[in-house]
Amino acid sequence: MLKIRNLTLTLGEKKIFDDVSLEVTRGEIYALLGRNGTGKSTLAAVILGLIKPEKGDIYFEDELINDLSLTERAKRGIILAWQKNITVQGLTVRDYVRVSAPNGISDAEVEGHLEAVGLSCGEYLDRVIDGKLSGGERKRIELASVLAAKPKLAILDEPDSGIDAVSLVMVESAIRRMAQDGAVLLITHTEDILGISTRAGILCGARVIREAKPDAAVQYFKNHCDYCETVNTPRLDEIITGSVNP
Amino acid sequence: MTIGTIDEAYSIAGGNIHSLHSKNIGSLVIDENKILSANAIEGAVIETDARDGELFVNLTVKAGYRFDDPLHLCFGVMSPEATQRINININTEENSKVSLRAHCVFPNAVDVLHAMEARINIGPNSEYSYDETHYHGERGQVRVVPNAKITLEDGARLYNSFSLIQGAVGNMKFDYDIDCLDNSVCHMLAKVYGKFDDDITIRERARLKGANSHAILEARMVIRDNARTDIYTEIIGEGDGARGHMDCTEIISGKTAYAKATPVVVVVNDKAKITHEAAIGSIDSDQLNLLMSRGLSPDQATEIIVNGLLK
Repeated sequence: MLKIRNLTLTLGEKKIFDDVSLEVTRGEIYALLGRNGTGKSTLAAVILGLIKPEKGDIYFEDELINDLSLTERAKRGIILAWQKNITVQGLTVRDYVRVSAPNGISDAEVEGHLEAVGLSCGEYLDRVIDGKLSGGERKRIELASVLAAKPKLAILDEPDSGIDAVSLVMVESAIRRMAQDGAVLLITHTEDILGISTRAGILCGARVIREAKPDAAVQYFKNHCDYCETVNTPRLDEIITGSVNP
Repeated sequence: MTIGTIDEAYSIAGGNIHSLHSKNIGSLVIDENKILSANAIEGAVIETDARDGELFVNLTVKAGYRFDDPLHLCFGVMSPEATQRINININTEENSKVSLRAHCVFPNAVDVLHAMEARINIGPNSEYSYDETHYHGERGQVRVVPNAKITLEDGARLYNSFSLIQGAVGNMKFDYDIDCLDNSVCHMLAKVYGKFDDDITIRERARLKGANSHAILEARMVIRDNARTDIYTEIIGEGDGARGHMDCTEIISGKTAYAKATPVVVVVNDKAKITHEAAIGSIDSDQLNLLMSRGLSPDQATEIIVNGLLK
């Protein structure tokens, strides 16, 4: 479904990706594991078209998408659950989940997506998405919006962060459903959520150094990545706003 | 397109025509310098007079009357060229509560002046809410010059919301002075979408004279094309425990739009505290990317962000 071929990206003087290739196939939950600052979120930004690499190709459903815009990639079905909380003033939970749906959805469907991630809909529908919501609530609203978008490829950037153990069970179940309808690229630096993945790749030192079953990947990560070099990627907003130039 | 009746214009501006014609709802309708209708209800006295090309309106809310439903005002000018001068006194007596919903409509303006002199006295422990929506037509060839002197007596509460989002603005110069006595609370909110050659000046000054008086002066603006805004807000903290905050957020788009915000803090009592924040900038790229990552075009995403700010 997603094929990344020979991706190379340098930001400033830092090599972020050095000939990275990976593939996510239909029905799979592919976990991308790596320490903080190894470029996992940057890879998501490249897949979305927010950052142009100097070399490499990205194929989605066998179509070369290097030149497609962010909007066009989303319309193809590549949907990101953002790691950081972004506030659009005045936007309610209902508004956000609705705009994410490609063909519009009813209130009942919005409620269904919220319930799927453990949010009691009556409480949340009209709430403005802002700092009054907890990190875990915002993360789940983000996931509900991804569900509404009916992704073919859901890229979930640390979807478990700030989520309590009870809600996490529902979130994991929602992620499995996303994979049934397409595929999931799960970005994480912890092993907590790795159990739901079907395969994992380790990003380390600007390369995917190993791909394996989740258990084996975690073991390898623990044994080999304690001191592996991080590339200290700049923050995504620094890259996108141009304060760091590719 | 010419708008034929004031009802039609009122409706375009978001008003509910039924509220202007019901005997059970207090209302006042003015076209140019003529009173078209005035419907007082028990506890709310409306007196009007027209002389020397000027309209005089007195509205008194009697002591102890507390209205849950709003009174409706419509100030309109249907002619393309006209001058409307309104001199209005509003007095809410002790322990009263009233909400006014005003629509000011100048839909066909080519050269219209709307000038208002208002004196508003909000009596002790009374609550006054004023929600004003303007519609100046699509090109906004209007000059709007409202001046208001407002006094909040002890324990009074004022919530004032001004909104001009549809169509263009024209030339608008607000000048509001507010005196807040003991334990009074004032919240002023202005939301304006400026475009074309709109020229928007807002000057608001709140003097927190009383102990534990509070004021928030808030402005949310979006401007583009050759529009310009000049937002001057000032809060003076005089009373013990006085608290004030000014907040101005503006989105500016294009190379020829101009936005200026000047929050002024004056504190003359070490038990008072006044704060401010102002942010002027282009559409936030994170917000744009978030919405575009859901398949929205840049224009659709921008519209949602702008509407959210002006909501």
